[in-house]
Amino acid sequence: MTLNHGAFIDILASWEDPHYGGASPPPRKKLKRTQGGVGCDESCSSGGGKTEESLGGTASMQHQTEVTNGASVPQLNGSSDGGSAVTVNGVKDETKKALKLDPINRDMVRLIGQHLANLGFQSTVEQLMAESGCRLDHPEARRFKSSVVEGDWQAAEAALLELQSMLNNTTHLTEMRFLILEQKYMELLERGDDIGALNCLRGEISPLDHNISRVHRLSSLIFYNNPAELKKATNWLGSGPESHMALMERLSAYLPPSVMLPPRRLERLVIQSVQHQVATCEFHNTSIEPLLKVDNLEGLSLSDVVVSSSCLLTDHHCGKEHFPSTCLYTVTEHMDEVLVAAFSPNGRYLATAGKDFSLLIWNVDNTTLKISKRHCLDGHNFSIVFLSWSHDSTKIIACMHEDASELIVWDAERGKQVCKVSDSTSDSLTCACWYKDNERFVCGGLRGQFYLCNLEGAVLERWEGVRVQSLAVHADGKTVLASDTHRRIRGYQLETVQDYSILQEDHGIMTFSLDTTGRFALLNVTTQGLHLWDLNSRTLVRRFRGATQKHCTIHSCFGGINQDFIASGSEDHKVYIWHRNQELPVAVLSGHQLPVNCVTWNPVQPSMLVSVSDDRTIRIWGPSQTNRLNRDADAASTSGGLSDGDDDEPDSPRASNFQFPHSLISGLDISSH
Amino acid sequence: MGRVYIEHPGGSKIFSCGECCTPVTNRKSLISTRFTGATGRAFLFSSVVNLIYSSVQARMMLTGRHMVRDVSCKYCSAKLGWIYEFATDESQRYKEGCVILERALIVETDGIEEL
Repeated sequence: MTLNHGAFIDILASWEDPHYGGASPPPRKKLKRTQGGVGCDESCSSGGGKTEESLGGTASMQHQTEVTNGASVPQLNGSSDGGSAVTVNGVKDETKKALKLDPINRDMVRLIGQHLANLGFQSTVEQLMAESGCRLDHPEARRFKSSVVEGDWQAAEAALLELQSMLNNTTHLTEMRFLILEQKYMELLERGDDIGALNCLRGEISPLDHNISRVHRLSSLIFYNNPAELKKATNWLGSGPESHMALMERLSAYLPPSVMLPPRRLERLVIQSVQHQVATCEFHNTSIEPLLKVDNLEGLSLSDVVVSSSCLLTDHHCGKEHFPSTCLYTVTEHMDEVLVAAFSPNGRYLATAGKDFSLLIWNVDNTTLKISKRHCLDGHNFSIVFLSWSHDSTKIIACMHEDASELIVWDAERGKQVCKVSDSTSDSLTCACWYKDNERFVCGGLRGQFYLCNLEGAVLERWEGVRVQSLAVHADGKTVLASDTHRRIRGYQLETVQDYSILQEDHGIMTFSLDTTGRFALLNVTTQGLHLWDLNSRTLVRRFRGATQKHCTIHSCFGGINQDFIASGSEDHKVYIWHRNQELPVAVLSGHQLPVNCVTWNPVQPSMLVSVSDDRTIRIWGPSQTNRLNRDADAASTSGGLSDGDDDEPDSPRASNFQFPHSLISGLDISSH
Repeated sequence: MGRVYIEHPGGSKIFSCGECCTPVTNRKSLISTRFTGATGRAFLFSSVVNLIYSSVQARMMLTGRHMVRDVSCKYCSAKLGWIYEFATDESQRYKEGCVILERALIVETDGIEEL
């Protein structure tokens, strides 16, 4: 290979020429060379003679460096991009153009960048911003943020004025300046610089003419002598970086998102999404959820709120491990139709009663879900139609049929009668409820009796003129809610003789119950299904469809963790369970042979439900695999990502008791049945 | 049948089923007393509760041809009267939707003073 140095230098010189990419011979040669690639040497040697081609050695190496640039090579020939070929020897990155992103993706990249920056990956963030051509925050905003975090108030004000044009609202500017000056003032006070603080107050804060009451309060703070007292009096964090960060978070609320990203935005979006999954999870009945229940997410990070990370990787979807879906066993102890059942508030006792004139109290084992007979209480001459446990679970009232004229209060632990209330033989006391003090109770009936009684059976107060059909005590402990024959629910304060109207229905209210917060009332309305009312706003929230109740009195209840579920009996022999937010049932349990009169949900064990029916049986419903009852231990591993339907054992006879009403439910993703 | 749900019409004078004393209606709903049933006198009421209705039959009455349903007590199923569903004669239209209860089959009692 001969090297003609002169020609070589000429070639090199012409490569420097930006207008190089013309029709002159060398480009074509170059094309040959690049196409030959490594084999160029051979062509050089075989071709022979031409000085340009003999540039084999170093020239081809130059070419090879070009070739290795990949995509940029074909562009070199015949296009004005010859210039870029020249800069090949310089910085490679500039030939790579920033990836073109649409606005949504730009924001996504900014969010991801913000999250990484919070975690500490500064160099990654810089590279990300360079590659994507986005920027996290406006440079002015970044300057503003860093000066606030450092505590350099003057620089912060200056940067703020620069940002002024980007703010949506001029009042925002004043507010932000007020906040900064407030912080400055507090810091001066803390340092003991009273003169400086006064100057700040007079010369800078007052002229803003904003939030005068706060200015007065600030001026009173000057009298605090020592900083610890000052901090305590105002709940101020002190002049450290923490306080500056907190101030910055408050200030960033005023800046539009294109200028400065809202703090921890990606984390908040993820938390919202997990919250949504939990809210729409139909069988969600566990106390250890993927999220801790917090009302205000301000200042919390993702790891503070989300308990299990598996919900980030797969959608949270509970199966039925904690949901009562199969009949665990049936108890046939009553001799006649069973009309009512109730769990005690502490979940340890179950009371059932009916037309056989006896009240049975059962012990409940909350881990095995077994019940065992504790007492059989006789002494009633009529069928028992209503039960009410006292709030401390020690006593229970048994109300009887209309013609009974009395009611009996029992001590549930010892099985002894506490007292009887029988004011007159023409009375009818068919419903009752306890006051919170567990010493007094209210009872009433269809013939117009409405009494407040004590534990000796004496009538303390009477209310005339109301035919009471169902009773419950309000959360405030003093007001009694009563449904009457005029299809209303009204509140009564028997001691102060006051009453007020709450709601009016168009059809008869058979029974109603309150949830533990006392804010919602669940009404069984004849022929209309179940109605959920909000007692504070006095509006109908939701109607629940599916159950039949025209002829008999059917009882319903709230239940589950957080009282998220509603269960009711029905005249079509089935137990219906709804999720509080959905109109159609999430589960329909069959097994009874006659109308189901009452259902009650264990307040302490959310997977246990009991129903009683005209067929004289008591049925206990629970999750299909009873070994998964330890909700706290298993919930952490089983929540999130389980498909439902895997739990129903196909060979067990119990599994056939569970029925999914496909006609009623649409869009449910069920794998079995 | 579980615990049968009984409503109460309220009012100062209440008419109830003669057999089981389930309240059915009151004086306020009384429209006319000049009717005759199988057992003698009968009253016409505008609104009633706690009754079950049979299937509709065509009947020839003193006043003309009517479509009626027999009406019984919800609790004890004693027959108490009938309800006019359709009157062929234009002059009898006022009876439609109203219930006839035979005086011998119901009892009248006092109600309570109600709010």
